[in-house]
Amino acid sequence: MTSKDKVLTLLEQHKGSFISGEVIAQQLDITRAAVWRSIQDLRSSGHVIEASTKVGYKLQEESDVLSVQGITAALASKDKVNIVYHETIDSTNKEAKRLALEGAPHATVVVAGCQTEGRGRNGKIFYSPQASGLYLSMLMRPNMGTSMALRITAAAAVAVCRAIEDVSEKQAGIKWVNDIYCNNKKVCGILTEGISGFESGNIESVIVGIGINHQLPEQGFPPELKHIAGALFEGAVLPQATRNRLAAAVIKHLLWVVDNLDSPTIMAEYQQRSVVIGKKITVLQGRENYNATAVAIASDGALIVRLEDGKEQQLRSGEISLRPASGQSW
Amino acid sequence: MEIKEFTQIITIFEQSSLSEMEITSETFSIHLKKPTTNELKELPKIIKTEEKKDDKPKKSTKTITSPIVGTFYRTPSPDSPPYVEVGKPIRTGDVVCTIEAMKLMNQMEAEFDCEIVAVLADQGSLVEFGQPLFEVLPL
Repeated sequence: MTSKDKVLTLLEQHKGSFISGEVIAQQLDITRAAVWRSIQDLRSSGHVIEASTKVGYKLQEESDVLSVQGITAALASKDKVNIVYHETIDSTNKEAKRLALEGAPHATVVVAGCQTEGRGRNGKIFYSPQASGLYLSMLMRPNMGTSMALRITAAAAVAVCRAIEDVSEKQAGIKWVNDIYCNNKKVCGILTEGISGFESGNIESVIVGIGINHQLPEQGFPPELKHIAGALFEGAVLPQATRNRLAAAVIKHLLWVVDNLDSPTIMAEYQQRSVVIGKKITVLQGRENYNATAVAIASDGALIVRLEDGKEQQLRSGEISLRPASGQSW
Repeated sequence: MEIKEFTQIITIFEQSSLSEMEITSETFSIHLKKPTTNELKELPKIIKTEEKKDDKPKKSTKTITSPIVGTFYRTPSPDSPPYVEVGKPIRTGDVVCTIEAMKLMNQMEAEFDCEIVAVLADQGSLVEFGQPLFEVLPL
């Protein structure tokens, strides 16, 4: 770790309060000049640090530059994770996959402030601009078969809703399978990728990739996303809802749900948070697409739909879009 | 009955025009039968097919089935080429397909070096648990 990283660790641990240059120098066993240089470096990286000759340095509550230190400071010590941070990366899922191949352990988290090749299902692009979003992938190595692993996607949606509600005053709902909506706008997409043996069917690793629109992008959303996409914060960000704190909340809840996949409370919450029940939808499944009405969510997360001929069926694959009485579908 | 006598009886039977013979006495019973003409004709055929098998010792193929109910994809994205092609060898760790269920994009990886002999499911189709997806020949 560089002096700059070490100084940031201390500042994040004391976020919102002053710590003197002398104490920093002593604790890190560096000179006060080195402390000063580190502070200048951190400021040029965007950290908002107040300096006072009498009391020292203070990392402002609203300062929100994503970092391993910032996330770690907001995590409880029991939440053991291995965090890798990149300011910009092609895709956090791709990076997590690369790390998985190198043998990275369970609960390895890749965080980025910007993705150049953010992806959704089937290679769709996930708009991932700089400084306004949180892009996070967690590599998990659960010891389970493919069918149990299917629960991870619904559980991850519940985890993200809990995290959003922990740090903001928003209420989060789930559009089947796992898009997260606040105020009728999509604020989060989740792409889960698994790798399993083709003969054994055992899951070797699962990567849950989460993209959250934390704030509105500087240039706004592209036209094709405008009617669907929203952000958690459209104005000032609450100090407790910085991207670092949101990342920590997501990690905390993800770790819990993955350890408790068979807990009935997760599925009950998944059903209760659904925003599609009773709505008219279009089902997109492989090459097919047809109209239906969403009726309920089954105990394994399948969506029960009523077709136009009155027949009911359960969906465990594909995706849906809602057909509002007026306006565009989402 | 002595072995000698027994051999004599067999010789007599073989040289005769009889197709079947049965002798029963107090101490023994013997039943002899010659193959019919039909059976004789078929015999060389059987030998032939056996020889064919011996010429090309083939490893048996394996059927790869779906571990879940889901949508079967042969390509990583709609515009990409398929992960694997029939007739091409693949290595352990190569991805052969993606099966999507509950938005888990599950890539199935080869657990041994093999050659794809046949693809048994259609791109974008819904597959059942246990449905055959590929026929592979271990290398």
